[in-house]
Amino acid sequence: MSMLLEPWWLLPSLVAGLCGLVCPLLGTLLVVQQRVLTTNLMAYAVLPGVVLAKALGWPVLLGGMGGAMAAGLLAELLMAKRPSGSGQSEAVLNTVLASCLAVGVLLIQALELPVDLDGLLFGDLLVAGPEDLLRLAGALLLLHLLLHLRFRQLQWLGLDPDGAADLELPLRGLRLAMAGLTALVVVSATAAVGLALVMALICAPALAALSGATSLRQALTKAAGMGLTLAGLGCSLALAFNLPPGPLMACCSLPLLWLKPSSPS
Amino acid sequence: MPVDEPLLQARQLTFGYGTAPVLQAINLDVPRGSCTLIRGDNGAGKSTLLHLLQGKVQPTTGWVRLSGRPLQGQRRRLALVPQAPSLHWHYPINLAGLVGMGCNDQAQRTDLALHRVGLAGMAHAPIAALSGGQQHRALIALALARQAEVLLLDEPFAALDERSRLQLGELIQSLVASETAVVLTAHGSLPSTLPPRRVLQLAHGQLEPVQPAPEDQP
Repeated sequence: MSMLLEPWWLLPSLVAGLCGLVCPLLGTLLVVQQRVLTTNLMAYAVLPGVVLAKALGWPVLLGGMGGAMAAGLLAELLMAKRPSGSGQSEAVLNTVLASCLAVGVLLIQALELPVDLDGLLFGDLLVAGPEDLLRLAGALLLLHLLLHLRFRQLQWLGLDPDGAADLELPLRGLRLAMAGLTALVVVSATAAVGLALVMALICAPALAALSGATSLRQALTKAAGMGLTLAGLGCSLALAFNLPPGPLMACCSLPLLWLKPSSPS
Repeated sequence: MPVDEPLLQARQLTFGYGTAPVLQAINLDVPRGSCTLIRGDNGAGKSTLLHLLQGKVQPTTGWVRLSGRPLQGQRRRLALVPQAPSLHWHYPINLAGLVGMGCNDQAQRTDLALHRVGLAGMAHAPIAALSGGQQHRALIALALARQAEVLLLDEPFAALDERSRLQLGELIQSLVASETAVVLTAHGSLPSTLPPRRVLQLAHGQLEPVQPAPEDQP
């Protein structure tokens, strides 16, 4: 009864729900476009961006997105001259990731800023505010717009980027839009699952949804449904056992990987 | 375009990886409704030449023109079916969806393209379920749906069984009859169903016309 009279849980639940919707939707696109490693790098690169923004008095959203985009661009530049399929690109991505994380930690110590590192890395829904809800709603709206306006080009980007280049489709702008949206989603999801755990919510529902899916639309719908379920499950378990919902959502996503992958050719 | 001007022209094409030249001063005319066979050993530069003709790779010197104009802005009129397609075959899409991407999902063009490559019965199969030969035919169907006027086929008969080779030869014959220009590479035997063709030999970076070998005779 007290939960109905004092709905303190409502805002965190809405934030978790929106996060459970937007992360898997974006994740499905990122998995089929083979951009998961870059996304992981961008997630960690949010940290130095946020710390710098706090030090300079800039909006956290701006700092976080700037950090993510800058790191993504740096990695692309460093990978450009390396042979594809050699494993060197993965090595570059992971090195940039570790460096970004290190820069973030060093900045916190050097600037002696009151930054909640645990909250940034693992989420803290109890301190989520309306601005987190608005960010996630904005990200969902932008993602919906992108899917609505550029669905065909998004399909080409995932299916055959070389073929899309042969058709002279304007993929550079689309890639940039995807990178910007990825940065926005990762920063917006910080309150719910944190920078370190957001990949679980981005990847696991997408992987499960792609199993046996016959179209991208079908996979997106299934991923969104699974993401919402994960968010609901994580929040329910958090309430029941008085545990943090972010790590619970990440843990609950693991069994999804046991779903049967799509059949080999 | 003047009536006698070839659809696709290459002049003085030179290209190399690093300092080693692979192709030197290649000249090639490809008329509409023709079949051109480029023969050559492994590593002779056949695939590189197709990539240059398609505009995917830029030559060190020389140029390629389509209907007398530079390729830029009209590359969609050419389609290259590579030996190892870059397409992600585990993408969640069925065959009709894939081919439909070449023509904004126009059902009639999709159906016709699938019918011509003999895959109409697999329209609703996921592309992950296609065999190697079917994958190549699916890519040709995609090119047909795009209404590509020049089809560049890189070793299309490699790794195909005899029945598939005959079917692909018949398909190429029908494409040539419908005014498509087909350029293909090969270094092995060819199916008897291929249409009459001009045979060029690529060796030491040079492209020379040769008398068709017995296995190249239609």
